[in-house]
Amino acid sequence: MFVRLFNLTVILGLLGFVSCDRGGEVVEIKDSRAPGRFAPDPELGLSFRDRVGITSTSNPSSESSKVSFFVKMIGPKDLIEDQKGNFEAFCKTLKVGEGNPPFEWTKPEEWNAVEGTAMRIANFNFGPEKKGECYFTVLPGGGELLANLNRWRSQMGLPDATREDASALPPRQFLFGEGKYVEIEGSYRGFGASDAKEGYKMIGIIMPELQIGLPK
Amino acid sequence: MKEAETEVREVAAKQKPVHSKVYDFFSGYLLAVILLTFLLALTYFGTMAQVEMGLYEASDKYFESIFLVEKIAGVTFLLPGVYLVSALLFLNLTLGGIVRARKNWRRPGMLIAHGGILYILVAGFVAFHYTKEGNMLLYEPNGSDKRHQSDEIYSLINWSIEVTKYDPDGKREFIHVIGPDQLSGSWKGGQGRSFRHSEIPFALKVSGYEKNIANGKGQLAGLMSAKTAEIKNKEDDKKTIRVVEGYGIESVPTNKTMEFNLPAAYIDIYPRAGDDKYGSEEIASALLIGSGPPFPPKPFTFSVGDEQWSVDLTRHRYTLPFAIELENFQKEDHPGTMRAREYSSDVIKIDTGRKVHISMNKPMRDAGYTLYQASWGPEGAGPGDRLYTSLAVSHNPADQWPKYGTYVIAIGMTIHFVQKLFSYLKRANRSRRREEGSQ
Repeated sequence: MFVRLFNLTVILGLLGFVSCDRGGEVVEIKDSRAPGRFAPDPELGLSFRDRVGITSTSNPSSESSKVSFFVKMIGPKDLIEDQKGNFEAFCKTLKVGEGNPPFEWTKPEEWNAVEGTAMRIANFNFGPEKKGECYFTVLPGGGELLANLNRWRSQMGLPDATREDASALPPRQFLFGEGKYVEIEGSYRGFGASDAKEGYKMIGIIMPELQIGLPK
Repeated sequence: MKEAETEVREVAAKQKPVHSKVYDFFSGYLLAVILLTFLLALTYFGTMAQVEMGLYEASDKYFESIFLVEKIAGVTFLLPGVYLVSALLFLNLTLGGIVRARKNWRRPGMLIAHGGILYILVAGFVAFHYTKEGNMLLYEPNGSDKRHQSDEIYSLINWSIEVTKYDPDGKREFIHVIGPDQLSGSWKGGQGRSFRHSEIPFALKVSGYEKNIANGKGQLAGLMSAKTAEIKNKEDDKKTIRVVEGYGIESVPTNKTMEFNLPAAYIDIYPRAGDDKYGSEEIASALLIGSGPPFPPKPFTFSVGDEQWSVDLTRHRYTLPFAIELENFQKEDHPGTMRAREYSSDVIKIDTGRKVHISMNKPMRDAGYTLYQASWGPEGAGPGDRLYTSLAVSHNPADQWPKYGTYVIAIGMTIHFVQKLFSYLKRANRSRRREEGSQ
């Protein structure tokens, strides 16, 4: 009895294996799901370049790489208003130079140089109790303008901006190109801090995803 | 006399029908020894291969396959995969250890132990076919959006194509999913495969599926402009890189870390022209590049009549039966560095208000799901950046079965050895008494 059952199982198994669908021409879609209650709304009607985040006009190729540059100053509103001149001066002196990382700048007299980190090429603090800080960052890739603008806005407790808002940001000459100038106020939540600091201001320049040629 | 008996047995064995011989083989010790040897060898090869191939690819090749090709000392062998070996072992144990075994109910230990092994093999089968795994990404709350709440998990290694219909206000009505198993045939040599559904007014042809177009740095090394594609096609007669939306794709070697692979594919939309017929001319074509959290979805959008639809190549997602909210994320760095020493998440199950603190070895278990603290991001985040926590979520119906199987085996073995011990003691007692009696 068991022997017969066993043989039948083997034969049926082999038949099942042979008759499996292995790449039919038109396949019925089997699965569906309800959208998540909290899933972010998709951005509709975008071109291929916007979907993929290609902002440069140069050809995408394996010999090129995208890099984003940021300079940001943050602190209590009055202090930042007071230091705007130093911010402008610092940005003007920032240029590509020798060394690694290959950048040079002149530190404003009122600012204190702080040791850089893997991300912060130049790093300063200033003001009473050193509440103000300014830093220059270079990030490989780094994401598009809107994503970075919204990252900064979320740090200040502000809602996300739209693509139109990002496009409308004033241009600002920076390093070897044109960046977008950002000036926002809100409640700043520092790194690892549980409480937001009220009455803060952030100014900065974003130069996103610049195509940099790599040596062949 | 003995010689005659042996001869009779040999003749009887020769006269056995073929199916009886097959049954004997599948229920015999010889097969058990062969299979256990294969298991040992495959475990060794699979473990060693993880160094070169990475965890997922090695697991796919050795532990989840039916057959595999392995080069040993320069010679190529066709070996059975662990999946096939385990299935045969299940059959062998069932036939040999349960069906064929002598049922001596005074000694049930071995029967129970065999049952325990079978239970563990079934647990492996259920876990392989029915486990849902993925990651949930929750941002720190900032009071301005809902990115700190979620009821979706996404796979790090599996991809699917989602076909979505929108209502006139641009809200998603429903999502049809072409899952990883259905997509698997679409990448063989750029072949295409068409998909349809009675609720979708078009057929979707997926072609040129490439498993990966990104290099280890996350750059789209396999994406090229129309001009580059034209040059490559001219240089190599065999190449026919298709250009859609101004770009073409070619494959890039897959990364050892499967999470870094980024697939791409071309799609063509053919309108329905009858009950079971579709037009021969496409109404839209697109090039899809894989995307997923933390980036917001940016699907290819098109209209069919008055209806708006979108198609997206995305990390395979599941919707959970409950939602989670991140209340607080804590991260502590090694002093003077940006390397995290430890991190944990305070979460709330939204529907019930249950609060749980999830840390490295303290997962949250609820409704058959287990949520582990997996990682955090974004990578290279600076002070003030909004961080997110990444929770690994697993739903395995057989999660605890191996533990129970081990208990069953332990009980069976204990019964067996205790009985053996008693019978030994009984025999020893009897022979001692016999010796005492003879003196």
